[in-house]
Amino acid sequence: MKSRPIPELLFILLLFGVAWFPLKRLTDAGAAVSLSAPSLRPPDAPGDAGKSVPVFLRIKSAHAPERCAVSLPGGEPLWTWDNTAAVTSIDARIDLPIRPGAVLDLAVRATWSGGTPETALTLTLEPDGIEGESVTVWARGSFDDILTFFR
Amino acid sequence: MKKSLSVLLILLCFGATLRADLKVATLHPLLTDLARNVGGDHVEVVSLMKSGGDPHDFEPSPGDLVRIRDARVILASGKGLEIYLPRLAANLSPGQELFEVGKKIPSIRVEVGELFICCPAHSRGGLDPHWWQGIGNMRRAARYVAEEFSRLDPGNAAAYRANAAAFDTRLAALKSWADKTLAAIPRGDRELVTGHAAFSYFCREFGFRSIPVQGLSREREPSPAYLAETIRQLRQEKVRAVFPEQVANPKVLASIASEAGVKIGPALIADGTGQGDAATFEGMIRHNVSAIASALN
Repeated sequence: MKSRPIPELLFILLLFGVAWFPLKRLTDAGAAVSLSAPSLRPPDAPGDAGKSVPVFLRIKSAHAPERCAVSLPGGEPLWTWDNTAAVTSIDARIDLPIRPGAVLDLAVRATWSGGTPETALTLTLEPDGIEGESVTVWARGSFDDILTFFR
Repeated sequence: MKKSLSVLLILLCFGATLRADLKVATLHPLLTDLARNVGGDHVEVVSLMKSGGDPHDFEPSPGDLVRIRDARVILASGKGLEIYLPRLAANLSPGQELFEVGKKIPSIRVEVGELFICCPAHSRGGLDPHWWQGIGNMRRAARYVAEEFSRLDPGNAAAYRANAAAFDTRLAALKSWADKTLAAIPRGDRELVTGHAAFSYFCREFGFRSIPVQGLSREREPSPAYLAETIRQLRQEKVRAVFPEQVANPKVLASIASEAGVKIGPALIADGTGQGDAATFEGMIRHNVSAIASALN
């Protein structure tokens, strides 16, 4: 049987043309379904990227620090604690850009008076509507590092 | 006669000076306990649902609305527990506020297939509304309530904060006690088999897997196929005990336990409506933790 390349090519193109329209409708409908699928973000949780969320912050140390400050890496301090009362724990409310499921880095600086032995420092963050988390570090005299929450 | 009148007069004067600074109404007994712990002497708490009630059937009556008409704030549990809340909100007096204590507490969404969380009405959104089964959640709630009371009554803000801090210290001790009490249960045996899915928050906090075997609402009977699958699962996973709930009919759970050859543990308080020593949040947690530890140890 003799081959006829041009009519065969035209026939294949015609088949593609006929199939294209319903295929496009199907794929568009698929996109619409995925957009309207239920959100995975936790209920009651703030969802906008970078939006500030009220956060309960608790700082505890085995020995009273003289000073402690919390900031976003490279930013100005969001909260500073001058511990004139020499207490070992403090609670505060601050706003932080937190998204459910996203990691948060916080720059933490703390100092203790001379002669304070190596001591534990625990930071607890409880954002409204999101599970809380605590991170504990050990330091002698001072601490200046990035702590990662919600890994 | 004169003496009686003087005593009455003194009592009236004394009563006037003792009048609370903030009147609060609550829609759940655990919120009454919370409001008293945070508010102390500065609040008068009107509790609409008493201990031993059922939050799944409760709805304020017209008489209740009269009782709370001069309350400044009404504390609701939130997370869809009070399905009548929109109707209540529409009936508030000017200046009254509704505060959903559980609104900012992280929710647990329960997969709802044949299962109901606790009743059909509360299964619609898929959220477990029993957030007060977690000690951490109650610690958060105390802070939120202290903030709310301080906003409404700034003159006593320091007292509300101090009360919330004292309550927080007690709850931290309660968590420590619960951790130690449950520590004897091996991690692999930490399966909490209950009638309904009311213990998600407790299970998350203490590392249990929640298995709500009864599944269906309190009013309906589970299907034979569902029962058979549940019994097979209990046998396969070598579950050690199943726990009925204080206000639920234990009949179906008892028959499941009998078929599966599993013992029945003490009844748990699922809806926070315990009585006597278990009427408070701390009492409820102590009751539930002790019951679970005694059956699974």
